[in-house]
Order: sequence, then structure tokens, then C-alpha cells
Amino acid sequence: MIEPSSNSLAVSARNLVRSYGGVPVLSLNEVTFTSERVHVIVGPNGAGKTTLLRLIAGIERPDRGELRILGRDPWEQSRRQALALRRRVGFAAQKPYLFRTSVRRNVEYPLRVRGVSGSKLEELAQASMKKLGVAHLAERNARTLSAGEAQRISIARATVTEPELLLLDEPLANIDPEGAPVIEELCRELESQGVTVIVATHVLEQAFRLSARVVRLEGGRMMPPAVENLLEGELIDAEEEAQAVLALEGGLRLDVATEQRGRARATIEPRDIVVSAESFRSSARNSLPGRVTKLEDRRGLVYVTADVGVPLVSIVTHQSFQELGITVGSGVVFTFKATAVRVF
Amino acid sequence: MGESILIGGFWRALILIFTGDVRVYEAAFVSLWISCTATAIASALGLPLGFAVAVRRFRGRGFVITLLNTLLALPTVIVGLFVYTFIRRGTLFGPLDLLFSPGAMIVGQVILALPIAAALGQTAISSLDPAARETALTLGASPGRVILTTAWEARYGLLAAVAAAGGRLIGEVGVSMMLGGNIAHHTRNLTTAIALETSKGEFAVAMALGIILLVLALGLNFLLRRLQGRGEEPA
Repeated sequence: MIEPSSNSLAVSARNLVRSYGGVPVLSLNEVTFTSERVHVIVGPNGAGKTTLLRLIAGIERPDRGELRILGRDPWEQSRRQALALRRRVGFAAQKPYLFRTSVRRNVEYPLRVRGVSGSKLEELAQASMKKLGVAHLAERNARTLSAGEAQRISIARATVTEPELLLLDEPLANIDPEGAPVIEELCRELESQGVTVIVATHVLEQAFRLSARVVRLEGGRMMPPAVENLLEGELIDAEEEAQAVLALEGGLRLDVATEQRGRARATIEPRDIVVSAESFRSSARNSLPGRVTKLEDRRGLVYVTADVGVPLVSIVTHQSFQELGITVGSGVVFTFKATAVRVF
Repeated sequence: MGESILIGGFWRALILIFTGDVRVYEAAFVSLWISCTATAIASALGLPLGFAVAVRRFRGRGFVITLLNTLLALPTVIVGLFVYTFIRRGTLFGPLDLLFSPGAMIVGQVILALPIAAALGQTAISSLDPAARETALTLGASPGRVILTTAWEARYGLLAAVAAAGGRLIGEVGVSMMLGGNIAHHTRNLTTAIALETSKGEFAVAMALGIILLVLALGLNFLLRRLQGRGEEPA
């Protein structure tokens, strides 16, 4: 039994199974999404992302397992309670359905069904359309718009009621390049206002641009964290223009090859980190001494975790591992090129 | 011969219309009000029935759909006979004294049009993108509002169902003849008047009435098309 656990969890699921025609498309042991944060579900097409969002939105019913939305099981509520719960959740589908009417009426719809009218209705709808950059389309027939415009309108419509939990399925799928920052900014703004946002995407870069809380879904199952060595820090100027320094909390500074500046997330592919007992001369810009904290044998490869100011993982072969002769607590140096740091 | 009846009928129709012939206007009026009333009642009952069959999953659903589709071809005389057996003197509804009254014609026409409204209504709702209903649901619509929104989204198909039902009724003769009795100034409508004039050998008058009937049917369909194209405000 999953406890509602006050307000800390917006969504919690345990042993959740959803099948189509007897074939399970989603099978999750335990998944939780904390409140007031942006979460991203990343995975290829057909991974079960949409199914999970549809279950959370209450459009589909799980075959088995427990699912709690904002502390409640949506399928164990009275009609009135179920409606009240649905009204706390916003959902923008990957292929949005826009009603056969004007854009304005589409965005006003969730307000109208809640009994909002008059100037407040106009005000809220206008503000939402403006935020998504679609105010100029207000009087257009919603069925005559491009896929990108439809997606933005769908998001404006889902957010107009200021839901506590917002579900966005592939919000950037059809959005033009100029539209992407609008959605990213919206997610950040909503998070700062205490809204829980769950975004599904198949693009890893997008996932990390939106949040550091990324879960990976593949074949209907939750996989280990999407990437190893996820770092968050401030990109500041380096000596050369095409380079930057990623200043991490705790004082660690990494050389990075990017023109991007400001707050950013980055990852380092474990295979790109060279492990050595001592530092050596090379072209690699980052050489970090530290101590081994964990050694793991996974499918014939050794995962070496060392604390170099932050915990980083490298992968070495058994042969290299034996030649190095390292154990937990050994001193090592992790070396990698500035270009090995992938900035989002 | 055929052309002369047609041309003669056309001229005769114009004369009858513009001289304000009482028989013609009475028959047209009876046709219109009885068929419109029956269409409205059949739509009010049939469209929700079609909606329910489209969205609900229940045992025997396939049979209900097949039955509705079969009833689309229900012969008017069968309906006439069926209602007749229940409303003639000495039967269950005999005391209501419905036989040979506009009320009996309406009852018969409702039975005739109900499967049309239900079957075509069901098709209209079934062919609508399921996302319409889901979207209304996720946007916080109450169950009743979800139904209204879904109906609004399927409005073209639903109005087509109403048009088909109305079209079938305005042109039917079996029910009107058997249950209305073709009584002048009372239950005589355009189709029973055409039958009468033809039997009397008054082909031109019959043709004139036929042309007026076609114009009426055309007018009703234009009206429905205008309704289909009008307004973009959702339910």
C-alpha cells in the first residue's frame, strides 16, 4: 500500500500493469514523481510513455497495481471526487485534438466547464495564449492550424486553469525551433510556481534541458537512470571563446567545449573517462585526482566510481582493471577531454 | 407523353403555388408539420440511443447495431400495419381514438424514422476521433458536458442523420395512407394527395404536387446544411 505521504508525491505507482489485447505495454514496479518539480520521462517511440501519461491523466485504467494521483486513487473515487481530481490535472497530448471552433473558444473551454465566465474568462484565456505566443491566432478556426501551432494551443488550453499537475506528451515534437525555448521557459516558470510537470520525450537533449529528474522508459519498463555522470552547474567564460568552465557546487571546475553560458546540465560518457594511477601528460583538458568509492562488475566490464569532488563513473575492461590493481579506497586520476563533456 | 406530363405538371405547379391553391397549401402544411414533428421526436429519441450504442460496450451490442441497420429498410406499410393493429377500435390503444388522425401518422412516422436517427447517429459518433471525448474529459468536463461536447464535434454527422430521417418521412406514403386515411383538410398530405390524384387520372396535378414535395425536401435540406455550416461556438 502506497501512503499518500502528505504532499511530497504528486504521482506514485506500484506494480502498475497496462496491457492492450493481453500484451503488456507498461509494467512498472515502482515509480514516483515528487511534487513541485519538472520530471521527464525519456524513451523511444513505443516505450510506454504515452500510456503512462494517459494512466496518470485518468483516460486509461490500469489492469493491475496501485496508482495515486495527488494522493488519491482516481478509480476509487465517487463521480464528483473523480471530476474534482481530474480538474487538478492538465494534459496536453502528443497529437492534440482541438475542438471544431476558434482557438479562443478552445482555450476558454476548461474555464467554461468550471463555470468561469465574463471578464475573468477572457483575461485568463488571453494570458495563457499570450504566454504560449498564440494570442494572434485567437479568432482563427482551430482546425486550420499547423501542427506546431496546434501543439502550443493545446498547451495553452491545458495550463489555462493553472493545474497542480501538468502532463505534457512530446510537447516539442512539432514545435518549430523558436517555439522550444517558450515551452522550456514555461516549464521552469511552472516549477517555480509549485506546479508538478511531467514531460514525455524521446529526445535525450530535450529531457536534460527541461530537468535533471529524468527517468528512462523502455519496452514498458523503467530502466536505470538515463545517463551516468549527470552534472549541474554554471557555465562561465574561459580563456578561449569556444570554451567554457563548468563551475560545479563544491568548487570543482571542468573545462568544457561549448559557447553556451549560464546554468546548464552536462554529462560525461563513462567510456570517455580514462582511469590511471597517476596523472600523465596529454591533450585532455580535465585531469581529476580522487579516491575509488565503488567497483562493480557488469557484463564483463568494471564500473569504477571515484570521488573526484563529485562522484564520477568510468568503465574499464577487466584487463585494464587488473593491470591498474585498484581497490576501493585507492587513489586514481580521472582524465577526459573538454569535448567529452556533453552540455544540454 | 411523359415530357408533356412533366412540363404540364411544372406549369400547373407554378399556377397552383402562385394562385394560393388551398388543397396544395393544406397538403403541404400537413406534410410539413407532421413530418417535422415526427423527425424531431425520432431525433430526440434516436440520436441519444445511437450515442449510447456508439460509446457503451455491452452484451448484444453487435446485434443492436445490426438490428438498427436492418430497420433502416423498414417498409412503410409494415409500420402502418403494425401501428394499425394497436390503435384500431377494440385494441390496447383504441380508446385513444388515434386512427385516421395526425397523431397516428406521427406515431407511425416516429417508428419509421427512429432507426434512421439511431443508426446514422451511432455511425456519426463512432466515426468521431475518440480523442474528442478524451480531450473534453482531461479538460475537466463533467460527464454530461463530455456528451454535449462529443455531440457538438459530431454535429455534421448528427445533422446528416436528422436530414436523412426527415427526408424519409416527407416522402413516405404507406404510413400516412394507412394511419391517416387521406382525409381532406385533416390528414391529407402531399404524398397521399399525389396517390389520390394519380388514381383519378389527374397526372398533371399529381406531378405539380410531386414538384412541390421535391421543393420542400430541397428546402429542408438547405436549411439543415446552413445549420451544419453555421456557428463555431461549442456546446
